[in-house]
Amino acid sequence: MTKSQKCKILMMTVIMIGLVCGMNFIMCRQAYSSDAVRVKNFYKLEKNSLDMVMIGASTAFTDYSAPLAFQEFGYTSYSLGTNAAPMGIAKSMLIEVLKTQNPKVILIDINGILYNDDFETREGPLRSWIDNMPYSENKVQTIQELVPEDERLSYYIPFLKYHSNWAKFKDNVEESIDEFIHQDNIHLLSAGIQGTAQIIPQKSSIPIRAHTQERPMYHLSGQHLKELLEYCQKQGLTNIVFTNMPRYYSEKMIPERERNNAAKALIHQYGYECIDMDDYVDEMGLNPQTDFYNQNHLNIYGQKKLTMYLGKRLDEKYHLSDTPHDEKIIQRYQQEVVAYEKIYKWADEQIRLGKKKRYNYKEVREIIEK
Amino acid sequence: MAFNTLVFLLFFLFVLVGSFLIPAKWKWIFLLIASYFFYCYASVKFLIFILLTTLSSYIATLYMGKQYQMEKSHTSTKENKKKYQLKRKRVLILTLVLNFGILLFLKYFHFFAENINHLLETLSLGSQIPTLHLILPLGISFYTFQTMSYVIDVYWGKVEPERNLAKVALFVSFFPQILQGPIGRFKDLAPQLYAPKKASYHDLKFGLQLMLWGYFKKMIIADRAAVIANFVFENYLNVSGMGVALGVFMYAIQDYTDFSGCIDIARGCAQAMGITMAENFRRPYFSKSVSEFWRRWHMSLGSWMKDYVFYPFSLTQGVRKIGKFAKKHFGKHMGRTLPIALGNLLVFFLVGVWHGAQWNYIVWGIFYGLLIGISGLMKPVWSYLNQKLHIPVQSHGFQLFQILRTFWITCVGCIIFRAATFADGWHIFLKCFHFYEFPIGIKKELVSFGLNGKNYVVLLVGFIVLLIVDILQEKKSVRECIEKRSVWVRWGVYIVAFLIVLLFGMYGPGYDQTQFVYMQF
Repeated sequence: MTKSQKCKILMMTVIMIGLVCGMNFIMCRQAYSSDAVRVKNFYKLEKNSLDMVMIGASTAFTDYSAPLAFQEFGYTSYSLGTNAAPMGIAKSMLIEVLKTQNPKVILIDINGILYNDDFETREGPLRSWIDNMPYSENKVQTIQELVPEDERLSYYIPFLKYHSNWAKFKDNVEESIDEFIHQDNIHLLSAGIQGTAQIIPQKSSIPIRAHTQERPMYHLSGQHLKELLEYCQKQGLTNIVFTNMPRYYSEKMIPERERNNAAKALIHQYGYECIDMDDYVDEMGLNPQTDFYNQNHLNIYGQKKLTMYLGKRLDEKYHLSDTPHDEKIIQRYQQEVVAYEKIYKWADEQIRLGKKKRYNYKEVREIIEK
Repeated sequence: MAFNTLVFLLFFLFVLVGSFLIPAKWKWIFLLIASYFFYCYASVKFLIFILLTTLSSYIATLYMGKQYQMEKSHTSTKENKKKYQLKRKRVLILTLVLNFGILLFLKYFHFFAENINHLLETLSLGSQIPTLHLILPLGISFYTFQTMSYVIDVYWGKVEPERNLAKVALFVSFFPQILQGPIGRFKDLAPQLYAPKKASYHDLKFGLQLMLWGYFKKMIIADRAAVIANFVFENYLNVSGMGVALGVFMYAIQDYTDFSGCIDIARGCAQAMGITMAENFRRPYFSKSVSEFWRRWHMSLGSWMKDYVFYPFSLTQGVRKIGKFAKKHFGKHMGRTLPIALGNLLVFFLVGVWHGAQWNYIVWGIFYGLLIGISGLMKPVWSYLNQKLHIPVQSHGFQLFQILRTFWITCVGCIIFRAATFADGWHIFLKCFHFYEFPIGIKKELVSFGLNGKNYVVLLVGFIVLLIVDILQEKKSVRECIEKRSVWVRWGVYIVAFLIVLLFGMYGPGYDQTQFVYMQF
């Protein structure tokens, strides 16, 4: 083989690899793109820049607002949550957080324990986290622990899964360009916001605080919570606090409350604190007629009330706002506060006008840039 | 390790790089190790069968080679020659019985047992033969036929026996062809496998091109056509006449693109490593007659059958007598074509049996055997009719008619081959004649087959590309044409083809059509 032939082979190989990488970037896009933005933006944060990190499912970002907490209490925080995140993902998220951040508190939402074994292994929620995290030993371990053996390959190489999105090729190209342009997006916290500007007044509700009965957790989610607790204990992590975000309970949801009680008991057994927000509905001033957009999620009003209560409680106990931060980080959070206020105003307007509007990072960006 | 899996691509990349880096004289050892790794990857427990075939053919060919030499030596007497010939014959029969016996037992025991039990039940006889659900070793039909051709060739003295067991093992197990062929011949394949030669840049380029074309056929066309064909054949009762006709057409397309696609990948793999494997398809759907179709479809099996079944059978005394009888009573034409027709009937019966232990395969084989036999016998009648009716047989229109007629016959063959039962096949056949019955919700019906609109477009475009390439291939080599173009055009074609397969190919989780049709045989 001549030198020029060898050069040609090398060039073609480089082109092919480039094409595969390019296609991978363009095609590997999910429906829940707010999740992708939220996860990817976490990795753009400066090292050790967070005082608090919230880990969990959708309630981690619909019920709590990091910009508001900064505005009111002065500490920096981030909601690292993905939609319907199963309990098993929490450990993986925790490991990722500990790689780059050293927060005073890591708040872990236990929403995932309410998922049965089928939900715990659902592909979509698993991919929302796994496909957006960078390659690492933890990623491999997460796949091995949570994904059935015969499905793992497409998690290691997501293109195997996403290439069938070719019908949305144009949209994917547009989103890829968008992501490329906004890769230095300053609206780190707002970008991942997702929710619905709406009020669902709850017609029938039952008081839940006194209901202390327990019910065994689902097998897989229970096992994953136990593994997480064992991991925390083994690593000697003392800055872990668990939480259960508030719901509006009907008779049908009693088993959920009982599973929550069992989870709380297990958390206490391992010596960790669990803040059950269901117990502080009155203290927060949550009004079931105005503050929820569905049974499990708070709207922008409820989010404000919960953030005010939780932020104060955490700041008082863990002195979150005592840590000094670089001017650059403070400036960014100040911009986030401005963005938050715009989103709040917009959502408030929509609710007053009686419009039900779902919003994700795209709408949020438009609102901010107005 | 199917060809359209990532594991195979990684494996092939490793072997390809290895075959370039390893000193040429050791290349065959490297290929042997790679081939056995490939085979063991499917299952180690199958290894015993391929080892048995290798060892038995090695011993038999060595022994027969020695006897052949002694028989041909000048010092050998006429009596001794007969003795040596007899010994060779005995060893040949023993080897054939052993190897085809394994194949028959593993592939057909369940079928025989089931049918005999059915017969016993009908006759109200109590005893039952146990039905064993045996797992078929990978590629057994292909490697058994390939190895036995070598054994027979040595018996006939056409090739010298290979004295190195490991080299015989490589010939039997060479990984690109073990899954679905083509069924190689020792004289063509073995010298290339053992030759201390490295692949050239040209081989590498052309090999990879052929692989890419194979992947295009399999992953863009065959796997999409399979979705429609599978649905229609399983739900034909609830599908309109047009839908059923489309399903049958799609199965014909799937069968061709799936099998020929796999063969292209296999041949491309080998070519990239500097080994040229036998051609197996030559645009069969452009055939003007059924016999031509079989000269263009699964050519390596056809040529195997011709050399090792058809000719030996035609030369038997019984068939000669039949020929003489036919000549005497029915004329010269009958005397010549009747033995050929009988030979074809036997060959196609065996082709049917080769495909598997199911009655539909046997009937499918006989269907083609009868068609070819009868068309041969009736040739003077057709010629007479053409002359009397002044049909311009050389015109393009008539040739197109012949092509469409042959394709239609192969579609009937597809129905027999694919339908779950004969009753199903018959109903599908009848429903095809109602192809003009368009359902009111035509879009809804098409989508119900399992493909959405965009996938239909991809399938259609893929089919048009295939048609254009096949038409061009009839005149000249498309690859040679591309080769003559400027580097920009060439590389543009490669990159676009690569991107098309990468994006539009059916693979990854959620697709069940990844199995190659002929892998089961």
